[in-house]
Amino acid sequence: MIVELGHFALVLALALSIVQSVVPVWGARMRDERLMAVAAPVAGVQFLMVGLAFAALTFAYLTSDFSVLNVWQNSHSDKPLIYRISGVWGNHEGSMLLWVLILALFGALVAAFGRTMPATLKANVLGVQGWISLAFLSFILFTSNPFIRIANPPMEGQDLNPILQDVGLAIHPPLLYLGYVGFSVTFSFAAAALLDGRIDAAWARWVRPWILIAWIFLTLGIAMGSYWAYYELGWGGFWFWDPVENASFMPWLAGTALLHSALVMEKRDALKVWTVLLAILTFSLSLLGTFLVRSGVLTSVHAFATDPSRGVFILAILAIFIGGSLSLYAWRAPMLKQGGIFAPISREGALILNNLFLTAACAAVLVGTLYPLALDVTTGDKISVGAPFFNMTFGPLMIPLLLAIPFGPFLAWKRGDLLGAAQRLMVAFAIAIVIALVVAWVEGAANVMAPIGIGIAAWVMIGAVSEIVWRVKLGRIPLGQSFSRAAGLPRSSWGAMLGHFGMGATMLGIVAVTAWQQEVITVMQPGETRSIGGYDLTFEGLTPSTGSNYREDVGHFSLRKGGVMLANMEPAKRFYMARQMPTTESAIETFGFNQVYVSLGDAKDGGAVVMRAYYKPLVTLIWLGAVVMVIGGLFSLSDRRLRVGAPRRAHHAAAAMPAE
Amino acid sequence: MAMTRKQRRLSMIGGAGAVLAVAAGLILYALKDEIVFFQSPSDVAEHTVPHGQRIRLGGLVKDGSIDRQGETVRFVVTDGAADLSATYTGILPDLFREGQGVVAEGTVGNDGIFHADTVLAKHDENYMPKEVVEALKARGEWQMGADNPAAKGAPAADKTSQAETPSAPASRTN
Amino acid sequence: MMIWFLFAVLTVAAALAILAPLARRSNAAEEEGQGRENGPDVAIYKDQLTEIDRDLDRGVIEPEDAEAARAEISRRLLKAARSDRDDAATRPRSGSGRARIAAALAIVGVPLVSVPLYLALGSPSMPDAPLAARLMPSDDGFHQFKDLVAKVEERLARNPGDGRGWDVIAPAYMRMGRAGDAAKAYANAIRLLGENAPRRANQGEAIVAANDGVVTAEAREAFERAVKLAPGMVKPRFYLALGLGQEGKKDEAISAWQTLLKDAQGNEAWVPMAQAELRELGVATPDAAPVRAPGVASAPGMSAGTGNGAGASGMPGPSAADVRAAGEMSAQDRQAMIRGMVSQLDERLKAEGGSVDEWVRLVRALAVLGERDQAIDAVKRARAGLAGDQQGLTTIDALATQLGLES
Repeated sequence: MIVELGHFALVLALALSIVQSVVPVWGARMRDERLMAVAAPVAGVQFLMVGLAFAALTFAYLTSDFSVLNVWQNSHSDKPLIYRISGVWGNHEGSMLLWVLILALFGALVAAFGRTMPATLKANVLGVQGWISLAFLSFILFTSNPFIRIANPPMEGQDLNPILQDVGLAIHPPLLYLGYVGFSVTFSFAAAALLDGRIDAAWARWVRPWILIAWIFLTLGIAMGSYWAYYELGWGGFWFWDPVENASFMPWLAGTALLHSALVMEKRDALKVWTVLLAILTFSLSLLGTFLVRSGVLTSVHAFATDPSRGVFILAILAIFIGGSLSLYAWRAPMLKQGGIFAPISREGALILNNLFLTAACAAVLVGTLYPLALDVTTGDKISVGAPFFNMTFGPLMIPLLLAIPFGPFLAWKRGDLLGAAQRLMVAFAIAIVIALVVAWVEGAANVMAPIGIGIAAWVMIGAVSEIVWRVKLGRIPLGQSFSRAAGLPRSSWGAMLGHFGMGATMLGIVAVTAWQQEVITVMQPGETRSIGGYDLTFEGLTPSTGSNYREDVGHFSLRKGGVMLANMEPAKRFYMARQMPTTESAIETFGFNQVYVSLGDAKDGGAVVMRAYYKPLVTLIWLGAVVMVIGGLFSLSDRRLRVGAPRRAHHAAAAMPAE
Repeated sequence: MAMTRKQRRLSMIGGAGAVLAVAAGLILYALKDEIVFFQSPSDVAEHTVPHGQRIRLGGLVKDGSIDRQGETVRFVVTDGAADLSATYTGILPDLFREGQGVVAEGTVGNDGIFHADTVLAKHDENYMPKEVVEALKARGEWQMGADNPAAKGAPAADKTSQAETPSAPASRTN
Repeated sequence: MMIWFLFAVLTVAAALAILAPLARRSNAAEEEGQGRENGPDVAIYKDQLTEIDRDLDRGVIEPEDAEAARAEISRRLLKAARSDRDDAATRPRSGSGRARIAAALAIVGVPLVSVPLYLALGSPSMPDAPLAARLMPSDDGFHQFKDLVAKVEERLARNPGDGRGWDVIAPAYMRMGRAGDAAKAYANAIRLLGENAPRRANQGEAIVAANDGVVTAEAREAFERAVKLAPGMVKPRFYLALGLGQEGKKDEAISAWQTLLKDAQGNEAWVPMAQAELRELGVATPDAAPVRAPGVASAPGMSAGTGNGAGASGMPGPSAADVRAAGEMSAQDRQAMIRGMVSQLDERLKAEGGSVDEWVRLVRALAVLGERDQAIDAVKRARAGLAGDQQGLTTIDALATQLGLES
C-alpha cells in the first residue's frame, strides 16, 4: 500500500505542477496578488508529494519489496543496508526521481526564502520551475516509472552492479544533482525576468545566492566523482574526459562564469544581456548532460535509434526549454537598457575576461563531447576524443585565465590601475618565479612543463593571499589594526580569496601528479620488495577470504620507509558471485598530501601476483583544492548582503567583493 | 587616457573576438590531429592505417590467444575476417577475457604488432563495446547463436546503457 | 478501502495548497501590497549607496568613479521607487472571478488529472510485498535454497567446467528471476554435457524470460533444436507457436496452436493459455473463460515475461502458463515452489519412490551441492527403492563409485 501511495503522490505532484505552471504566471500578468500567492504553497506541497514518492520507493528498497519491478531489477536481499538505500538512485528510474525531488526541493526553497522578492518575480520564477517539474514528472510517469509492479514477485532481486556498491556512489549523484538541478533556479529567474521585462541590478542580487548554492554542490559533486573513480577503478586516474564527466563539467564552467558575471550585473547594472543568456545556457548544459547520460545515446547512437522513447522525450524537453528560452531571450533582450559604463581595464573588464575564457573552454569541452556523436550520426566514422584533444584545447585556454586571476581582485570598479595592481603583486610574482626556477633546477631540462605549471599554481595561490594581505594593510599598520580590518572585511572577500586559492591548489595537485607520479607494474613473489617514491613495498602473500556476497583474494603488502614500518596495505581482487563478476579493490595510504596506491592484477603460480603501485605526490590537493573552493563559496553565501531577509540598511562593512 | 565609449566598446569586442578566434583555431586544429579513429583488425590488414598512427583497435579477444609473460600480455584481436596480434604491459581490466569484446588504444609498430597502451572495458560482464558490435556486424560475424558470446553481449550492452557505470579506461600505462 | 481513503487525504491536501491562498480576503492581500510602497529593490539600491562609501574606504573604487557610481545608483533608486509607486497605484483589485476559476481548477482539476492518470498507471489493489513478510511461513526453506545456490555458484567460480553444476543451478536461477543468468547456465550445461531436449527447451525459455517474453531468434533456435531432439515435447512447440504469433505469421501460428491443442488432454495448465492465444488470433475456441489473472497490472513495460522468473520452474509444461497460474496460487503454494528443486525431488522420492533417472538426478544434485552425507543417504534409499531392478541398481552403484559416495 505504501508503494501505491507513493505512486499516487507522484501523480498528484504532476497535477500540482500543472497548477504551478499556469496560475502564478497568469496572476503575474494580471497583477493579481491572490493568484500569485498560490505559487508558494503549491511548490511546497509538490515537494512533499515528490518526497513521499521518494520515501515510498526507498521503503520498497529497504524491505526488499520485489513486487516493484525497479526494486527487483536493482536490489538483492543480501545487499548491505546502505547500498539498498543508495540503490534507490543507482538506476535510471530512481535517479530521475531523485532529480525531480531535488527540483521540487529548490522550488520549495525559493517559495520559502523568496519573501523579499517582488511578488511578480517570485510568481514567475515558481511558474517556470513548474514548467520544468511538469516536463520531468511526465518523463518519469510515462517513460521511466519506478512504481511499476510485478504480479508474481520473484523471491530474489537481480543485485546491483558490484562496482556501484560503494560509498562514493551513495553520495556522488545526490551532490551532483543538487548542483545540476540547482541551476534550474537561475534558469527560472532568467526566464521570469524576461517574461516580466524587468532585469536590473536587484535581480542579480536575488539570483546570486542560488547560483552560489548550485555551484557549491556541483563543485563538491564533481570532486567526489573524481575521487571515486580514482580509488575505485584501480589505476589511479582522477579525470578521464569521459562524456559522462564532461556532462557535469560543462555546467560547472558555465556556472562559474555566471557566478562572476552576475557580480558585474549586481554592482554595475552592466552585462545584463550576457548574464541572462549565461543563466539560460548553464541550465541548458545541465539538461544536455541529463540527456547524454539518461538517453543511452552515449552507449550507442544506434541503440538510441532503436529504442528512442526515453531519449526522444528528453530531447523534446531539451528542445522546448532551450529553444523556448532562447526565443524569449531574442524577443526581450534587445529591450534591455545598457547599464553602467566602465573602462576595459577595470574589475568589470577582468570579470569579462574570466567569462570569455571560461565560456571558450566550455565550448571546447562541448565540441569534444558532441563531435564523436555528430560524426557517428553523419558519416558513421567512429572516433574517440580523449585527453589529447582536451589538453590541446582546454589547457591553453585555462593558462591565460589562471595567469589573470590574481589581477582581478586588485583592480578597481569602473576604471582600474593595472600598473598599481602589478606593483602590489610583485611579491607574489617574485615568489612564484623563484619556485618555478627551483623546480626547473631540480628537474633539469627534461621537463619544461613542470616548472611552468608549478609556477602558475603558486602564482594563483600566493596572488589570492596577497590581495587579503594588502587589504588589511598587513605590515603597514600595527598588527592589531590589521586584524580588526581583517575581521571587518566582507565575507565575500574571503570567499573570493578561498575560491582562487583552492583553484591554485587543485592545479598544483594536477601538475605535481602529472609530472612526478611514479609507477611500478611488476610480478612479485611473496617476500619480495620493490621501492617506489622512497617507500619500500614488501609483498607478504595472498590470502583468500569471503564477504557477504563476494569472494576475494587479498594481497598483503607492508609499506616501509628507511626500514620503519608504516602501514599494511591490503588491495584485493573481488569476485561477486551473483553477477559472476570480478572487481579490483585498491589500497591507498596517505602521507601528508602524497599517496601510495597499490592494486592487484592476476595471481600467478606459486603465490606470485601481478601488482601495480603508484607514488602520487600532492595528489590529495586536487580534491582538497575543490573543498577549499567550496568553503570559499560558503563564505560568500554567508555574506550579510545575500543573507535571507530584506537587505537591511548597511551601517557596517557593506560588501564590495563577493567571490570571484 | 580617455577613451570614448565607442573606443572602449571596440577594444572590448576586439579582445573578445581575438580570444574566441584562438579558441576556435585550437578546437579545429585539435579535431584534425588529436582524435583517434576506431579501426578493426580488417581495417589494419587492408593497410588503411599508417604505421605509428594512434588508433583504437576493437574486436574480440581470440580464444586461446592470451599469453601472459610476467606483466606483459600478448593476445590476438579478431573480427572474424582478420586477426591482429597485440601486446600490452600492465594490469588488464577485470573483464578482459577470451572470446569477449575488447577495445585497445595504441599504435601498430613496424613489426606489425599492435602495441596497446590502454585497454578499455566497461564494468559489466555483458559489455560489448558498441564499435565492436558494429564492426562485427559489418563483417558478417554477427550471428544470433547460442554459443556466440558476442550475440549475448550485444543486447545486454544496450540494456546496460542506463547503468550508472562510468565508462572509463580500467587499465592504462602512462 | 484504506488506500482510497489515504488517496483522498492526499488529494485534499493538494487542493488545499491551492485553495488556501485564494481564500484569503482580497482586502488583506491589498493592504499588504499597499504596506510595501517601497519594493524590495529600493532597499537594495539604498544598501548599494552605502556600499560605495565602504568601497571607497577600502580603495576598491577611485573617488571620482565613486561619485559617478553614486549618481548611477541614485538614478536606479529613483526609477525603482517611481515604478513601485506606479505599481501600487495601478494595481488592479484581485479579481474574484479569476480566483473562482483557480479554485475550481483546484477542486475539480487536480482530482480529474490525478485519479484517471493513476488508475491508468498504478495497481491500487496490489499490496506491498516486503520480503520478510513473504518469508515468514517457511523462512528456513528459502535461506537453505539460497545457501545451496551460493554454494554451487562458488563451486562454479572455482571450476567453471563443471557441467552438472550448471545444470543444477540453471533452474534455480530461473526461480530467482535471474533469467539471463539461467540462459547462460543452460548454454554452459549444453556446451559441457551435450544437448538434450529438456535442456534446449529450458534454455529457450530462459532466453524468452530474459527478453521480456519475446521469442527471439536465439530462443527460436534453441526450441527448434529441442523439437528436433524430442518431437513430442510440448514446451518448445508452445513457445515456437507463441513466437510465430509475435512475428505476425498469423496463419502459421494458428495451425501451430491447433496442432498443439490436438495433442492435449484438456486439463494441462497451458491449455487455457493456448486457447487465449488462438482467440487473440481471431479463432473461436470452445472455452471462453478469462485467463488473465486478476490483479496483474496492465502498466506499460509489464509483459507476460516480466514475471516469468517466479513461475518458471523445472516442472513440465510451459512456464508462461505457470506464471498466470501462480498468480492465483496461495502464498504457501508459492513458497513450496521455491523451496528448491533438490529438496522437492528428495521429498517426492522419499514418499513415493521414483524411476532410476530420478534417483540419479537426486544423488548427483546432492553430490554437486556438497551434501555428501545426504547423498550417501540418498544412495541407500535408492538401493532400497529400486530393489529388484537389477539394471537400476547397477546404475546407482556405478554412480556412487563415480562420485566417491561409497559409505
